Amino acid sequence: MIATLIVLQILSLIVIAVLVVAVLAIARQVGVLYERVAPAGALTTASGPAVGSPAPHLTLATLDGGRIELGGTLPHGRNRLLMFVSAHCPICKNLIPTARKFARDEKLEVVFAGDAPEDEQMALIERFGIADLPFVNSAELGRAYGVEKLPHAVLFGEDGTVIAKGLVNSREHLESLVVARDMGLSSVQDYLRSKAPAQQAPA
Amino acid sequence: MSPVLAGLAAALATAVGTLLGLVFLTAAYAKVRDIARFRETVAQYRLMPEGLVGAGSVALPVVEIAVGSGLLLGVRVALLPAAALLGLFAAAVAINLRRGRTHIDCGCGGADGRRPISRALVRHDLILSALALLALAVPGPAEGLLRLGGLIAGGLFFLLNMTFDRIVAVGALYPGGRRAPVAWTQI
Repeated sequence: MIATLIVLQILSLIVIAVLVVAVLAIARQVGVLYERVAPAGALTTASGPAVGSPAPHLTLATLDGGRIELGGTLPHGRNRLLMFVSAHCPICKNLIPTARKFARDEKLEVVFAGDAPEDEQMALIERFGIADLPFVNSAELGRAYGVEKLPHAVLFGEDGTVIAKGLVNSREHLESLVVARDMGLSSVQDYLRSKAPAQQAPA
Repeated sequence: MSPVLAGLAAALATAVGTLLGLVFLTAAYAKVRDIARFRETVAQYRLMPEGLVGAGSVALPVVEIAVGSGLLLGVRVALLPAAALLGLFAAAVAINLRRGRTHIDCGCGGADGRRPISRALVRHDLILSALALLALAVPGPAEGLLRLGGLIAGGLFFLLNMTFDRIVAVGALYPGGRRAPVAWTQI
């Protein structure tokens, strides 16, 4: 009887050993897939101030009656996220709450911006409960940053330069702006270009 | 021989029989399900006279079902034709690899049904064939609890074999890729 139990025990150990090899193979496969899937990132367009250059200095009225200075230096260690949105863009509806939460997580100041009739913007602010954040309604601002498609995000550094910017459709895209800042790259497109020669090298 | 070693050998022989039985039955099922495609696969191997391809592609699954059922029921003698069939498959693949016809479908059922032949496949078949011969060399069948353990272990080995098959199929989606893990996971 004891011999039988020992045999069964050895059998299960063999099965476990093979299973471990299978798990390792799967883990390796996951790694290979990660290598092959390109990271998601904001689509950085050529229009507007270039990444790394000083942002245009503008003083604009906010919808709550105050004034806000865009461009120029920020308090030490602060970054600012400028989000161009509109009530007519379907993705904006998902992205406004996401941007708000993302900015809180990353400790960014958020400024929303748009270009539409004022009552429409007030309805948008009410709908998403963003009355506590500055909202600039200005055609001039959109032109200054060459905004063509929405939602568009611009990340400012504390020294007033544009750190990263682009068309954003998801939280991953917003995160790519911060990752670009942390890695010292201007955009995910830049990153992919810098990786491209390495991928062509012989194995 | 100590009772533990003897028991282990008998249980492992049962496990190998079960594994091979399930492999043959699933392979036969894949062939029968799409017999026209299997006929085409047999023709692609270019090993049989054209007149015999039709008969051969029907006979093979029938033999596989017979051998597979025998193995599952614990008929020890079935290990011999099983080893012979696996050796035959290995030879057929090796001949076509040598001819440079590496693009043809292996016809081995498998996870996605369609996979080009490879050296890994030859190795796979030869290892299974060797296991069948080793199991045949074990005296006496496993009894009672040992037999049950062997059956369960064989079933688990079969599932693991399918897992590796699946992993290899994923790797084969990227032929020629950098460090493409196509072959080394084959067991």
